[in-house]
Amino acid sequence: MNGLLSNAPALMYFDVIFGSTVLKPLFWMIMGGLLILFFSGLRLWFSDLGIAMRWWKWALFAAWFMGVYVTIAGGFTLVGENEARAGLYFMGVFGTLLIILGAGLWRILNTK
Amino acid sequence: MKNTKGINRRDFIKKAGLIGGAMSLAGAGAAGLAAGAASESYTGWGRTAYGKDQFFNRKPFFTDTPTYEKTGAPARIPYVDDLFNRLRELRRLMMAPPGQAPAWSWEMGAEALPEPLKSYYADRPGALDEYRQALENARQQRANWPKYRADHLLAEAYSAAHASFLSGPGSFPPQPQGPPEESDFRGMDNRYLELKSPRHGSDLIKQITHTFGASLVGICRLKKEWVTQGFLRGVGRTDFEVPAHWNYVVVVAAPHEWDSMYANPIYGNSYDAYSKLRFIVGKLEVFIKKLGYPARAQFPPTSFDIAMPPVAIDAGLGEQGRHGVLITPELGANTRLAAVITGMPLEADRPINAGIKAFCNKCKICAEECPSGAISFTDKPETVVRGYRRWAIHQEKCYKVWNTVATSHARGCRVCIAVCPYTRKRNWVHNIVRVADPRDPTGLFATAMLGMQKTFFSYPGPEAYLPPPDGSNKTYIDPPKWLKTDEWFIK
Ligand code: SF4
Ligand code: SF4
Repeated sequence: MNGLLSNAPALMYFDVIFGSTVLKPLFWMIMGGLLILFFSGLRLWFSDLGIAMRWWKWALFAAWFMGVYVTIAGGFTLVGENEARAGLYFMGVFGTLLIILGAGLWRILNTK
Repeated sequence: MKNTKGINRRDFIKKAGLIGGAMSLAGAGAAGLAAGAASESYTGWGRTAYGKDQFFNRKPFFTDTPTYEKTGAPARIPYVDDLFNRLRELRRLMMAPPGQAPAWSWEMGAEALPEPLKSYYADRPGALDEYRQALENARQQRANWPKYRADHLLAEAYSAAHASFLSGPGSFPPQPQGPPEESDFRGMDNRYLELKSPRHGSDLIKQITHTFGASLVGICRLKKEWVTQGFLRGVGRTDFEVPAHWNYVVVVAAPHEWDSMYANPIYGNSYDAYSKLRFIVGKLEVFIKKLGYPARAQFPPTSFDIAMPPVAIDAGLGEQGRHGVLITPELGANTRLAAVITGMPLEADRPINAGIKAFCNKCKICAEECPSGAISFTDKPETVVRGYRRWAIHQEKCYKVWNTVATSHARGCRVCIAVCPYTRKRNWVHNIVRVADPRDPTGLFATAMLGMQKTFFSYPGPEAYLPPPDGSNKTYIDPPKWLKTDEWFIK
């Protein structure tokens, strides 16, 4: 680990996971498990809120969530390479866009 | 169904799901942070030996028309076109042998210079004055150095360590002695086996060169117009024909260490890449000679008989940027070049057009940040050099800044390399851009990227890189901890 992490020794522990050929895939498997948990919970939330989910609504939601995911990952990637300002702007601009899109998506999800 | 603590299964999954969603987003942030800072994203500093740093797929961008624009009859390159050759000649003229008057002095003016210097400066009014100003600045730079030494001790030591191979008995590779027809063959073994084909030769040479430490390797046929005229290493000042065995050029690229490079103009240095390159091409020259073919290494800072950016373009490594430096898809402008000229039968690569030159027409970030104003702001290249329209920086202006920034002596600036949007490490964010941008025929992707580059990223501004009173000794990005003197020493 270099760059930002060379100036923040505590963050060098990241290397224990992301620099390891065994722990890195394990990390993504856990991430996959968390996403399964998230979508399982979400299915119940939607049904309790009386939202009738169809396949295309799930697809729209997944695309939106992917946008959030990529925005956070992208922003922090820039932070990690010592471009903190660019990372925060990236998350600020695309985050705002995603909030607006999220409001629109919410209305769509609430349609029958 | 209720459990013993009264939480039903449905509520549990709902709550756990929310926590899982939040954790996966946090994981995305952590993975991003790790990707941004990962050592393996430091192209050229980890995966090089197995050719893994030459990761860009050039095939879709092969072109029969290299991105340098031919506008007239090409010509060989007068050796004084190179700044360092020019300065060496001027210094020689100004140094008087004991008891004699110097052959030239400032008072005599540019008209009194011998050819080819006279014509060079006649074609570039003001350039000689810029050099004179650079010498003035150098005096001030030396006077300023005690003020900055404590801050920049490590950067100086780091640069000096990398530069230590440049001269003296430890210098490598050795300079050629005598005409190329002798020196390029000296130490060559008799050819013992024949190559299966030129293609085998190219593949072998590339693989070997990667193991020597080259991030990128490309091969081209040598065009006569890329060979200098008027000076030949090993011989001296002479007009010469291009030797018959100068058929192919193996072009090699390596980057500067990334964190110090981003902390230019003060913390970076040119010699880290130069030392790598010298060892690579020095060893490659020996390797090729041992196979029974003539070879001649070309290496930085000044040991060249050919112009490097155009041969690198011919070899398909990249395109020339507005700042005059070669931009490659893998390393951006953090690309330093060396080469071996050889008579070994090889298969040449093809030039590429990955849209870099077109992007430069719009970008102009290097010109906006250049502390010397040496880089053109025009919308397209306008300078015609020996039959080619291309970007050309004002070399003397650039050199003036080398003699101004807060270093002990003129050891470069490289701000234009650091700020160039192509100068990006190898991680998923920049790789998406690398793949998508050159494939977008509309140019919209490039426009969006440039918009983001100019709004999201902050640039200190051209004066900020200079010492006070004109600037504040800024670097493009803060230096890494390992180059900060006060992290290690009591000031
Ligand atoms: S900073 Fe922009 S204009 Fe300058 S070389 Fe890089 S891409 Fe081209
Ligand atoms: S090295 Fe510095 S002064 Fe020279 S062209 Fe690049 S930015 Fe300008």
